[in-house]
Amino acid sequence: MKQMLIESKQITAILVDASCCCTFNEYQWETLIRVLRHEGLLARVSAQLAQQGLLDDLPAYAQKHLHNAAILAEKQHRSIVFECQQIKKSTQQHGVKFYLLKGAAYVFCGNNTSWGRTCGDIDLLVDKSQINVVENTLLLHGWLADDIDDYDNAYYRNWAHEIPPLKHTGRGSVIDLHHNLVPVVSGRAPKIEHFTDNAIEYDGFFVLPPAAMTLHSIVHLFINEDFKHGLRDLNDIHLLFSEYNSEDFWHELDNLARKCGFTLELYLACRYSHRFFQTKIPCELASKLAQCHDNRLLNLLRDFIFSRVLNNKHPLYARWSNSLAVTMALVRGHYLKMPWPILIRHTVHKSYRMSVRLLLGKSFFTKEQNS
Amino acid sequence: MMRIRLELPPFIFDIHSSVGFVEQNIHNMYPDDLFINPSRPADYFVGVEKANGLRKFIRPQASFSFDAIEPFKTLPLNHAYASLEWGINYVVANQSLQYVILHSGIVAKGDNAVLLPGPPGSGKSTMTAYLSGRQGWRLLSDEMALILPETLKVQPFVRPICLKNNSVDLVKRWYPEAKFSTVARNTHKGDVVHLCPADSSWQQRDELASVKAIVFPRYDERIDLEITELNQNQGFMQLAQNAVNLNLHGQQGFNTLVSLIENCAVFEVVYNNVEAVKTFLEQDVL
Repeated sequence: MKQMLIESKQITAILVDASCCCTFNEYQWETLIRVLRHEGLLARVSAQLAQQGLLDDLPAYAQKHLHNAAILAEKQHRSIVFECQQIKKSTQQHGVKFYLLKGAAYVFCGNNTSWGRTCGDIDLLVDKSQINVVENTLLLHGWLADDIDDYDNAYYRNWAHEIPPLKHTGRGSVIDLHHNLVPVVSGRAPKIEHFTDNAIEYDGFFVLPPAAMTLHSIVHLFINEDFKHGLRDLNDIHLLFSEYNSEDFWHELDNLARKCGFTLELYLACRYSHRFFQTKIPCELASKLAQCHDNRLLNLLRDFIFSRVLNNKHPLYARWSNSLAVTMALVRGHYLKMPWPILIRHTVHKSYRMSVRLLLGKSFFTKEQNS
Repeated sequence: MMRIRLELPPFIFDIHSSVGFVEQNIHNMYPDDLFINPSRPADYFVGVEKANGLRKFIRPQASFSFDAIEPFKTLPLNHAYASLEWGINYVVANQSLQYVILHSGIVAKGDNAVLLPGPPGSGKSTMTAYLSGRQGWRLLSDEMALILPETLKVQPFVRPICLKNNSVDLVKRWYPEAKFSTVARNTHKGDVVHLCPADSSWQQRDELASVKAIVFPRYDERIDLEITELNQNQGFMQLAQNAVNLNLHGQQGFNTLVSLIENCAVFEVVYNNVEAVKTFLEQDVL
């Protein structure tokens, strides 16, 4: 086994209490910064250290990288606000009600999860009946769907909960336009009003109320096959749980999960958020969820997968069992998203493309660009 | 497998590669005292490796990585060293926000620096190569000027100079003793060779300089030397087009450009005679 300068556990401890890294020497900082940057969490730790007034006492090496990460995150937040204003302006005549999801929502409502949250795309939710008019209007204002093949396009249009990502030709900003929170094909797409009712308005945009916002983050993480940002997303959930922690909140969260059939996902979120970050979960809720979903055998399997895919994935910490867990999570995510016939078709198509890439190199399907 | 730690002030890079000629080029281009032992923490971990896929037996490819992330498409293996140099630029441009970064050549006579911003093909690198090798002059960078925000101070980032196509022969004629890298053929910039800067540039790699003038060079074989002084508006707009991370710096970035424009002489220079440009800079500008 490779000698680690810091253990994975120390990294998650820092995400609970940033002051844990104040005693680190420069070599430990070197590793910590690499891992946090890789996981998209450098700016978050930077923000938390700044919040506690601890930045100035750190080694110059650490300060420099933490400061730069903070600037990058601030820029992303400025961009999100700017892009949202542009979207609003472009679609003004249609009176569209936009709901912000994930990163953009955190930024607009300014909750603790927004501090140093890195955001790539802007996730928006609109009523399904308005998807076409919004897409066409955005197209006129420079947001175009990336060049994807016919199969992927059909997949999005028929089975997904969103349309293909729209990228601005000038500024490069990417919008993920949703009409639901879970792929339609999974048969688990909730009645969207359950989530959007009582949404809160910020500068002309709507943010789901705390319980719905949290449940969406949970569903997004656990009904998925891609855990690239697993650690960050689980940390988001920990922060949401911790900030909104109140009797009403847990009650609503429980109710909403029951109403929409997401109690397993809520169970998993509580289990792993507690395991990684010692999140306080009300005993009553925990035992209620355990009653439905505790299963010793299944939990062995779940723990094997999630303790790995939700942890940091920097190559310094690579183990063969991690790759196995990632593969298992990939299979699990696909299975959750698609019924068998569609899944088989999907697998055949994707395997074909993967084999070609393996044989002929990663860029085989990348179209030549004139430069 | 090569794994080295290279001090390229103001940064320390950890570089890995198992491509033989990359290692040779690095040792050829960078002076020995830049190779440091790993007891000092590296700012960025980069590497260039042979890309996977069976294609490696037919048309081998190289892939640049920034700490396990591969930001670019793979390139022909022959471009591996050049792509490492470009990759390092990419990492600095995207990560090093302690500087307002201008896409520009920058040279200095003593501590008086001249910015040479220009699009590819303007002769910026050729001009930078010429000036940086003359008596009393030094290279700060041929690609990116690292300006300390809201000052006129510029941090050197001394690296090999990237020469393209015809300028390679020209520079070899000016500096026959200089060290050159192997050729990367048919890149998106044409045939590319890197030039090791003169000793004086390496020796002063930690010494900040102050920007005194901004010169937008434009090579034109028909014109010996034609100098136009730009007003502040023209200068600002042209400079802003060459700013790499202006949007990341917001107000501070804007203020930095304004202060550069307000405190420097700004010229557009059309030339085919590099020596005439040097004389102009030495006699009329600095």
